[in-house]
Amino acid sequence: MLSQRKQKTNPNAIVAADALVCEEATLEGSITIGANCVVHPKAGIYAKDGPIVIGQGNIIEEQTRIINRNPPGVTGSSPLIIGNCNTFEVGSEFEGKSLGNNNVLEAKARVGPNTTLSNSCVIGAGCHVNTEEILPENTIICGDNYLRRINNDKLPSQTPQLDFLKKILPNYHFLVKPNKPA
Amino acid sequence: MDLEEIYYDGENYIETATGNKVSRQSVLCGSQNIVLNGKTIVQSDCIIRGDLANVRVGRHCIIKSRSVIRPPFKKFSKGVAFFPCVIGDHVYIEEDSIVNAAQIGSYVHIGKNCVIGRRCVLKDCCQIADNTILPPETLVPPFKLYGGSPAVCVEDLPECTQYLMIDATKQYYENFKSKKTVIV
Amino acid sequence: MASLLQVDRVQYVFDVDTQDSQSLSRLYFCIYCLGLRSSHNLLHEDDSHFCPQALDSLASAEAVSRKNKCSNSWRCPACLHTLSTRATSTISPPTTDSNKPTVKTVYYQSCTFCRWSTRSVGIDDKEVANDAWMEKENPSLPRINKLLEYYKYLEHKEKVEQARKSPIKKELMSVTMQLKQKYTSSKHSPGKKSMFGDSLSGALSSLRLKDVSSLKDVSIDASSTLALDDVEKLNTDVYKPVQFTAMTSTAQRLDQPGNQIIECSDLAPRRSQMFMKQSLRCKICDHNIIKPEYSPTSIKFKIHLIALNHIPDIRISKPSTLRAGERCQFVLSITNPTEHVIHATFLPMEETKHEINAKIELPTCDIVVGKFDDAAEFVDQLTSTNNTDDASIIAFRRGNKVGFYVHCTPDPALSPGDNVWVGMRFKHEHYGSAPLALLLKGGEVEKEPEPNWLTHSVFINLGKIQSSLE
Repeated sequence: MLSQRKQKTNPNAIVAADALVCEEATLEGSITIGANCVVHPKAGIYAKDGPIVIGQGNIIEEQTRIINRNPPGVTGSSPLIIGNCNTFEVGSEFEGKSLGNNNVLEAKARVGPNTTLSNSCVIGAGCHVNTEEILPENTIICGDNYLRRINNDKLPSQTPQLDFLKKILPNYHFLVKPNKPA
Repeated sequence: MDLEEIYYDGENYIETATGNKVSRQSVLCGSQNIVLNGKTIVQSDCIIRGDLANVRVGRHCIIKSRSVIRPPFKKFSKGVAFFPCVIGDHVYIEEDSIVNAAQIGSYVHIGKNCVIGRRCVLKDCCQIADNTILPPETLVPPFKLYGGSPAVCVEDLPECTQYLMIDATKQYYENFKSKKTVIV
Repeated sequence: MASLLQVDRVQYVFDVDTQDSQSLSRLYFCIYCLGLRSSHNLLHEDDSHFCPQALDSLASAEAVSRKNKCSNSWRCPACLHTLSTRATSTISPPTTDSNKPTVKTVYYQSCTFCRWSTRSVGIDDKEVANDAWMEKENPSLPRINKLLEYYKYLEHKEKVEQARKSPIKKELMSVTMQLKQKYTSSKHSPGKKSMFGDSLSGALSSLRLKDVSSLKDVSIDASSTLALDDVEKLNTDVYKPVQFTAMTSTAQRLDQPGNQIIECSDLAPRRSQMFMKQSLRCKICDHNIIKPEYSPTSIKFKIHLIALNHIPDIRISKPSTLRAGERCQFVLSITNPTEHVIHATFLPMEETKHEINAKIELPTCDIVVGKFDDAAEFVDQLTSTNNTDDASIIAFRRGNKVGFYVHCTPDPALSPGDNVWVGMRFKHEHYGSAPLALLLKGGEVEKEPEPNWLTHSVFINLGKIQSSLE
């Protein structure tokens, strides 16, 4: 109700044909967003020191910040590659090196530039992780004491939520037009 | 201690006929699905996701800067559904909190930087301490202070919580004044 | 709430002897003995127990017999959060009776926080949602039960012996028994009832001992220590690198001290603990001070004698910069919660144990505080200014709230960052509930009731000393 339409969209952002990116999201720098992704309003993707490539079926909720930024003293423009079917919940922040598939960053979770996530990892709400490591598959980190567990169960699929969001979001939001070259 | 006066730039807020004061810098998605029942303050950079499901906020509520109110979703065997988010009267939500609750009663105080998980139910007269993570589907009974991650009951609240919350939210509203209307 | 209004900065003395003080929001007011009470000097009584997640309530006796544990709510052994019951449908293979595969709903417990589930440790799904899971039994349970039995036996034995030593008591017992029946069944004196009840139930329990004169002897074996000749060989596994995610944490082990589970795969859900609803009773006059409604979700009270409803609330209305040795002006506010106009008189603090490090100059005249009016909210408050007020004393007047100026001089010896405490006493009239009681009895109230004068000692934390640079 209170937002104004942005005048210009980022020409360096490549959005796949059936991805859904709300115009109120911030896309900065060279960004590629894969098919079937949903980017909620007020999410921010900042490709500052290198491009960001986001795979398929990711959900990026409001107040999320995905940043590709070089640590102090490092130069170059290495890309940040995010796999498929990851969920970035409200207010999460990802500045890590790379992200596999099916990971969940819960609300207000933060992954710093030193950490890499493999697949099916969950960073619990409010947890800040920046250790120099690659988190093994199915790792769950949660709580005040950063309890670590290896999850034996499969994480629930995000596909039903994606389908639902793709149905209702176009009714309420202006969307970034897909511009992926065929 | 009585609350001090807060002056805001009159141009940055919209005041409705029922006395709601909503910041122009806030984002109310799907505003046709959002009901603010009057004398409620929504401050800058708040996000209320009425596009996902209905959001109803009672009277005399205060939602401070950068907080997010987001109806929770639930998975069913056939797809997902977003549930409405209902908030009672005299609820005070501090800065940077994320509220995914299904139901918040009246006279509830949510601290700074909290995460209220999906489909949580907060009963009347409860409080969530600053920086608390309330896991999804948690129920908070009346007169309890919950804190930590995962949140546990930390302390009992006084029996006069209702009066204190009414006093605090009313005072906040009365002292939340536009710079323009100040008589010098 | 408490933290929003910083109610802790004004402390009311509730115990004149020890000078113990607390914020008014935490205090109670006994309208029968006209005194402030804190939860420390009131009798606590359990009303009911309830499960914080399912919100079903239980009578206290039943809750005790279940060791305060809920029957259908479980706790995650990994992160100690409450577990949620999840339902899924499975297809079971065709049985001999029918050729078709049947679809069944099965349940399992899963943690919404750390995503632990009963499936992850190989506990089978259950066909019913309630009461299907088992708690791991404490391996020392037989020993604990044996000890309990032994202590009960000792207690009985002691009582029997005491009863034998005083033969007069026995004769009295039959009389007290009659008295108890007579008084505990009548509802006329609720205040006195439990006093009788307490002394009588003691006598009654010793009365029962007569039947148990044939006590069974219980004996226990002392736990033994023994010297071992062959010590078990050290497991070579200890030299392997530790898999942190497969081992339990200290918090997880301490959560189940009886079992001391070492490997995560052995974790099992635990029943969650119940919460309690309490009522409070005055130790002096035995009247109820707080009696909550039975329902766990209710915020209503049957009896609700909180101090905030009877005693004027003093708050800091406008703080000011505090500097050591410098006189400064404050605005304090006083709010009258009663339906009578009151006159507050401020008096200097007498000798006290509480630390006071500033001088305070209080208003010398009475302050009239208007009565509480439900409709005041809808009336324009600015019109209710009283022109007769002395502007040098009264800062503002809003319905039942009056702001007044005080001056304070912190001790010159204080350094920046120190808390400044002042003390004062104030006197106000209190109209008891006597006229209400009269009305209820059908009598007529003609005169304005006679007030009682109450005096309170109050300590106020005015804030911290600012550094002189600011």
